[in-house]
Amino acid sequence: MNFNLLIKLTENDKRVIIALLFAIILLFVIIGLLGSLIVRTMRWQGKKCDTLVSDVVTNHIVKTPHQLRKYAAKKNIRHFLKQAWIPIIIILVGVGTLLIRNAITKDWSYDLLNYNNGTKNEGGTGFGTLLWVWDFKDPDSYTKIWGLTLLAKWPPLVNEPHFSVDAIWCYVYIVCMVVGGTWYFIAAQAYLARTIRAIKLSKKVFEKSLDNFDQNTPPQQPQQPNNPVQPM
Amino acid sequence: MVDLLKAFGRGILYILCFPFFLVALAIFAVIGLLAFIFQLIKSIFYFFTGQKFFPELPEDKELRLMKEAEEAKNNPQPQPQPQVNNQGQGGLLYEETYDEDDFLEEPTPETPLPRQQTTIEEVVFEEEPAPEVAPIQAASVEETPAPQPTVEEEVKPEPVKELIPDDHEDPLDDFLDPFGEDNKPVEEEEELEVYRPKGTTDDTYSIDEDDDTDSGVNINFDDWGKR
Repeated sequence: MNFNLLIKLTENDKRVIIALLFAIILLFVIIGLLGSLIVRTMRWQGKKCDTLVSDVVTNHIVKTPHQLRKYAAKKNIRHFLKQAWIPIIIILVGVGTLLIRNAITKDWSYDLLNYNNGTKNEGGTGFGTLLWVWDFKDPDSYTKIWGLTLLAKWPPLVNEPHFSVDAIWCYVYIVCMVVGGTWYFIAAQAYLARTIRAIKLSKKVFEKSLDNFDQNTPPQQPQQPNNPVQPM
Repeated sequence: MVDLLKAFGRGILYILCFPFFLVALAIFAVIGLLAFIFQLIKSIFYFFTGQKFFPELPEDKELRLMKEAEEAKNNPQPQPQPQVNNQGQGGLLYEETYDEDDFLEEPTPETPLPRQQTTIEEVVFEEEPAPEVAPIQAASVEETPAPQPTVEEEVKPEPVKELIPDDHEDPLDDFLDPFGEDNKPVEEEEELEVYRPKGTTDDTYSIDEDDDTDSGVNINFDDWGKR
């Protein structure tokens, strides 16, 4: 037999592989927990659909699953619009700020992440002025292992957070976009959750089950408590 | 350990499903944005036509009508027909409506008349008229030229106001008009100087005693005309 595929591992390699395995398992566990959190959140958001359609369903105004889905879709989109108009306005304010800045400076090639004007920790017109910036293009920070170029050390820091008046337009724009965008996507997620819930409800509410039904069993007569049957 | 493995399995599942979730989310976000723009255009039209931003859905309208009908069935209330009192003193009057069964019985002195006239205030504020007051016939009210008091006025006669003397001082008037005609600051009167005989003090001397002792100036009119 050919055993060329067998790899001889040293004790150190085994430790590295075990550590790597644990790291991957931990990563998946964290992703699984985050996913469970999102699913639970969407289930909670979908409960709003019950509130929106319950009156019409309990009063038997909608009588078919199609009617329920149609009615729920209308109510869901209206509720979404009520939730989403504030983040949309915030986003519009951010975009408007950027457009005004570009119109005033007549600079339409604006780098939003610019962090300095060539001098370290000074000036800058972009949001990068508020961030730590490392120079990942530094060739001295990389090394080659088994033919692969890997990061050998932490790259040099080229910018530390500092406030720049020239970048204030970008601060407003980025903050508005992040806040409004997150808010809007949460509202969109709730809209998606309500739609999924409406589809589930349309199947569940009008469902008829024969699981506990036996045609050979005679229907039970309701017992009248006021006139009990006297034994002969 | 089992939970950890379950979370691990879920993690793999979610990584596989995450792109589909993102696509669905993006689609719903775009649909929502288009709906927002569409609704914005519609709202401009609704604004100028005087309609609501979100018009009532047919299902909601049906539900509302059903609930209103149910409430009307549970709480039947007679619809009052307001009638203007031409006399000008009694306010609005109306005639209460009764079921037809009420007219089957002949009105007797013991039973109240079926048609009773009541003021609109009693209906609005649900004030019940006093039982000892006889109801007023609607016809008599319309025919009498002189102003007739309504039932409410008969039941609750206005209390007799007590006559307040003119010189009654209201502290509120003083507060509101501290320097009015009636409230001008009174100048302090100068004390009269009392002339008393030497050797007497204020405690021992009285001006009234002066007449009895014939000391000082005594003015009387006893001898008037005798001289």
